[in-house]
Amino acid sequence: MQDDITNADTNYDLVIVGGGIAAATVAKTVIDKAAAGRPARHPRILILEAGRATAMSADKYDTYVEAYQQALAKVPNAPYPPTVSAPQPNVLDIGRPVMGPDGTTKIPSANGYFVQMGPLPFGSDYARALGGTTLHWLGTCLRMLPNDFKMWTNYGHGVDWPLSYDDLKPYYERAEWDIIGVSANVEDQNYPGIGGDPAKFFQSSNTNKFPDGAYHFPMERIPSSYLDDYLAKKSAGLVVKLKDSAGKEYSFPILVCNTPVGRNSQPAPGYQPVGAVGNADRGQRCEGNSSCIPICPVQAKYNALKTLYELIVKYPDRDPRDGEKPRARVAIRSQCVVSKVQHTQTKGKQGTVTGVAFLRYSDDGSPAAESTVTADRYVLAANAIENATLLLASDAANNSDQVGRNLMDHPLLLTWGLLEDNAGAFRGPGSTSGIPAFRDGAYRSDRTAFRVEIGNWGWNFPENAPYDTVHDLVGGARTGTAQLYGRALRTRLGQILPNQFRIAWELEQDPEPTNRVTIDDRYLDALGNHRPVIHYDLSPYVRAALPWAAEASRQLFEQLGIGTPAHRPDYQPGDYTHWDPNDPAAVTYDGQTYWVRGAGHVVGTHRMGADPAHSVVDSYQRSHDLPNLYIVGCGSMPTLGTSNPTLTMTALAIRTGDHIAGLLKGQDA
Amino acid sequence: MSTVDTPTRPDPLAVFTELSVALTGFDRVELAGTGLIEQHYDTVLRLIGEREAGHLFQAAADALDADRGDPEGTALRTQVVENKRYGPVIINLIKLWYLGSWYPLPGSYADVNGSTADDVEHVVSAQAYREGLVWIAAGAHPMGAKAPGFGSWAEPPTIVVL
Amino acid sequence: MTTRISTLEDLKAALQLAIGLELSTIPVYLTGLYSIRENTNTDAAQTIRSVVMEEMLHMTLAANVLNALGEPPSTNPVDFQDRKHLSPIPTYPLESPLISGIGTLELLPLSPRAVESFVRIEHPLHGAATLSAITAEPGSYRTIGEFYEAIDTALNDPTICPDTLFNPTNQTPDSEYYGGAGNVIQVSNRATARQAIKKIIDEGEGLPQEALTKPAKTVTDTDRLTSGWQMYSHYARFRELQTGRRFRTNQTAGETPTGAMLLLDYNEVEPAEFTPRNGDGGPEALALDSFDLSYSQLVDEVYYAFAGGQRTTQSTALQSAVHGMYALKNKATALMRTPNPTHPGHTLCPRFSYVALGGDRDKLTRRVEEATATR
Repeated sequence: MQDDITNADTNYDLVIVGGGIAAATVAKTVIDKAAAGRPARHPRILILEAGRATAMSADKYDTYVEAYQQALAKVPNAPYPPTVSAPQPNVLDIGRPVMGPDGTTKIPSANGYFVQMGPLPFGSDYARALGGTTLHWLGTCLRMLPNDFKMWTNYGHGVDWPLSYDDLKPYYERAEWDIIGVSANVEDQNYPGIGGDPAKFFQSSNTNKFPDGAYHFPMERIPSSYLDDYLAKKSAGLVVKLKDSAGKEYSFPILVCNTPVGRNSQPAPGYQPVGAVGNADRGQRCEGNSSCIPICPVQAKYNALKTLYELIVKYPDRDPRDGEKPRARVAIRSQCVVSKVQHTQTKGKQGTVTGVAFLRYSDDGSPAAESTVTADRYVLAANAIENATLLLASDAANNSDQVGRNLMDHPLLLTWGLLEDNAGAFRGPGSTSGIPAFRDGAYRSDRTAFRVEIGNWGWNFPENAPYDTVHDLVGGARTGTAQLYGRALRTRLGQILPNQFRIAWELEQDPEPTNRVTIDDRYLDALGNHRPVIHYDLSPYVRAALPWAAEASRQLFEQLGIGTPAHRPDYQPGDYTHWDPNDPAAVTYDGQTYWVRGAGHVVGTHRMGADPAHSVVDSYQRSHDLPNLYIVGCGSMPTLGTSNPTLTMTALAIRTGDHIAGLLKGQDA
Repeated sequence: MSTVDTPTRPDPLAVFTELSVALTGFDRVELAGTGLIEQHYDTVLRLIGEREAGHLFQAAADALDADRGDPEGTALRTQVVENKRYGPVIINLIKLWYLGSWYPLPGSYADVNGSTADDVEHVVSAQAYREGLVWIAAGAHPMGAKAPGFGSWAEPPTIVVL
Repeated sequence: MTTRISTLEDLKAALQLAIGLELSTIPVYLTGLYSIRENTNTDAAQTIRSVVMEEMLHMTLAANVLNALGEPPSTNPVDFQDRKHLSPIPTYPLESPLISGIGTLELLPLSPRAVESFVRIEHPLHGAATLSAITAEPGSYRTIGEFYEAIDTALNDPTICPDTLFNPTNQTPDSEYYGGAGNVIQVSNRATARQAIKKIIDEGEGLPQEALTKPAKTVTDTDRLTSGWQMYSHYARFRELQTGRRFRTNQTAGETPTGAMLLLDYNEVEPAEFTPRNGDGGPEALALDSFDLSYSQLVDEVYYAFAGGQRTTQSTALQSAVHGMYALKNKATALMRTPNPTHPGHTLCPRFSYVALGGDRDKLTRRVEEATATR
């Protein structure tokens, strides 16, 4: 069965482990850049995906939409069937490990794929299927801010990147145009720390494409929701004031700003939005399906299948036919779980990767035969946690002892309320605007920055609305008699549901060596591969931002006229935020309990740096220890900032692709 | 000449429809437009058994008859909704229409009536989810279906009421 | 023996009627499309949908040409040639006042008869063996092809429309059209005007007879989406539905397709039955009225957008019309699931009945609003 991949005389230019956005971006960039080189080169690339193949045509994709509609728990991974051969984490499995008094783990929480060692559970998931987690990302495409790249120098926390914002800027532009397709207007991007002028911040050096360097996104902003406008009007002029422990006051003028997203909108002249895979008519615009997570039914939202589809259509894995111009070849193989990176490295020395061993399963969970495939260069692009477990299991690329360490996420604090007016909740993409005021500032020496995301789907996230709202109103759980039904029920729901709103306060997490992915031979999956064993906590630096976020929320809700605390099932306008103890998401700081959830931003397990003693990869994401190995993805990010990491990951992957293209052998034509 | 009269056969589906109209606050065309009347009828029969459904529908038919001319629906409330025997099923039927899901009947109900194999929490069908009435009541659309079109979310919300 | 268009007034009227002609096919196809039960007949649905999207493109193209001549598109009746008061807006069943060969356009759920009518509409001679087999009424055309040919000839005649007449007024830009093959051409001069008309002819129902001898899969539009997704003529696409087979690459459009099967299950279709307005009471009649009101408002919104109308809301007039199209689909689907109280075994069928602004519209609006309310 493996013959087509591991034919003895097949030596690939590049083998890429993983079939998500990082893999697709590296492959596409290498091919485009190499074809444009002198002489042109045409690499042969193999992409190995551990999970199932997902769908490459619209009618097959519809079956995933239907699976979501029929799923009882509509969690991010609900539409994508799990396999036990390439298991994936599920947010339903998040449990709290039991810790001993000495702070060690007494009973790990291991009921899902992750083995959670605590003290806090790692609250995020990812998808193992072709297309990766872009199948169920929200699509937010914020660039990181200049200060995010020099956290150590400027604020004395974390580390500096080996790259600056200016270094990465041209790659951000390419990520926005060539891979994802981002919808935004420059003038909306009012972030702190950019000198006050978005146009200047986005000024491009690509004057061929942008006359006078005046940058614009490939598509217009996705329209802000009615809720965004409502909040903007109600909060106009509000300045949130927050004090640090020394009594110093910081002011944050509140401005609701439209968020850049990888979601199709009105194109700029010359840009063609990319629609659904195999049916490009579909998904030319966001239609407002209100289900970006877990699945965009029309694929108006970018997912990596789009780039992968382009690759297999343009560069099929067969010899060019007569008359066909020389071109690259791309093979994508699913259900191939890479189990080992084979190499010659010994401790403290450099070495070479000599192959990757993989298991191609057909009967899910049954033992699968192992094969090896070889290439000139190798790319690991399997997600930060998967990259780390694979490297640890292979005893590879870890002279620095940093593999698996510095695991980060955006710990997310939810606050929610019931507005006095119908604000049109449950319509539109998950979020269309945010409040960027807290993304940078001098206070970052004491506490982390945070991003404020306005949610368009009512209390769907915090209170399982509209389900629990219906349960509350119909009532009768104890009495067996419906309290509200008929027209009264219909009318009351119409007064409550569209007035619901929530905000996510997404905290930057700093890198800590003790937040780490490890492996343990006691914890293996069905094919005998290591499950991720995760140690996770929030530093005092992160926790110190919790009271600030909570206080900022309080001041905002006050301004919106819903400052009064309230509780279900009353459903009077008010602040319904509650963080009770004994929840897996409970975190305390300064005697106060908060709920902190995962944002799905899995970052930092193979950090980049200039110094091989303290980092895993260089700024090209090339392994310090194994120079023919690239370890790409969010795992390479030394710090996280307050941006959702996918755009930055994509920019980094383009930079890696350029670099690899420059190293390709010339003989392949 | 036959002495056996020719009775009018009851139409349980029609009773179910009228009961559903009263319980949901949606008229018969709105309910028919979901394409789910028969599916939900079948679900109730499957989940509580035909015999019990026969009792429920007769009680509902009597109450609905008694309520003609009473916009308050007093008979339906006192004889069916507040009836200990039917109350839990009524709650489930409301949720079936509004959410497209079936929720397990309470233990006290099962103690008397027994339980069926399917009496666990489940989404009855993808269509039942898509056509859940809660989304119309909210002035919205089901998440992941019936998209309202590019930029519609920027417009002021409207809610249709009868 | 085509009826020549010899004055600018007639050319403008012809273009008003052309917009209406493109509009008139849409309810016919949509009735077929929306009668398909969800998640069934996906290939057929995609085929019909792709044609509908192009009919909308054609409407837009005709509107751009008309606007370029300085005349805003309108739903009002026009005088054309010697004929007075021709309404561009169709009512069903439609006997076209303009194209004699096209036959009656009916609103039917997807069925062999419906597909046959689709093929007839898109056939170069509307199913006739020869052009001369069609009798032309005075002031009308035997085929859609003849009609567009007359428009094109007139557009090319500087004595009818001098160069200076063309202006890029109220042009719908390409960025406003999506979801289908082809691009909107913004018309600013004679050349772009003719290009727009040629595009309508190439893709659609104005197909010349010679097209039948050309390969069926002649691509009618550049592969704008660069993903191997290609569009051939409406006629060829509907022939595939009719025969249940795909064309092979080497076949001509006049042949019977002999390629892979195109699966179509007529049982997975709602048994909708068109009944004209009859004033029945009850929620069913109200739902049909409510549909007509939404449809009429949508048509108005489209024309308003074509005429350069602006909205003070967040969305442009065309975007707002698109919201109306999405809502109309849901209404149509719901109607087609609802039993027809007077015809057991059948369900309601949307009438796509345009009620002109004025007294009748006011009455309809009042009737619908009295029964439902929005807040």
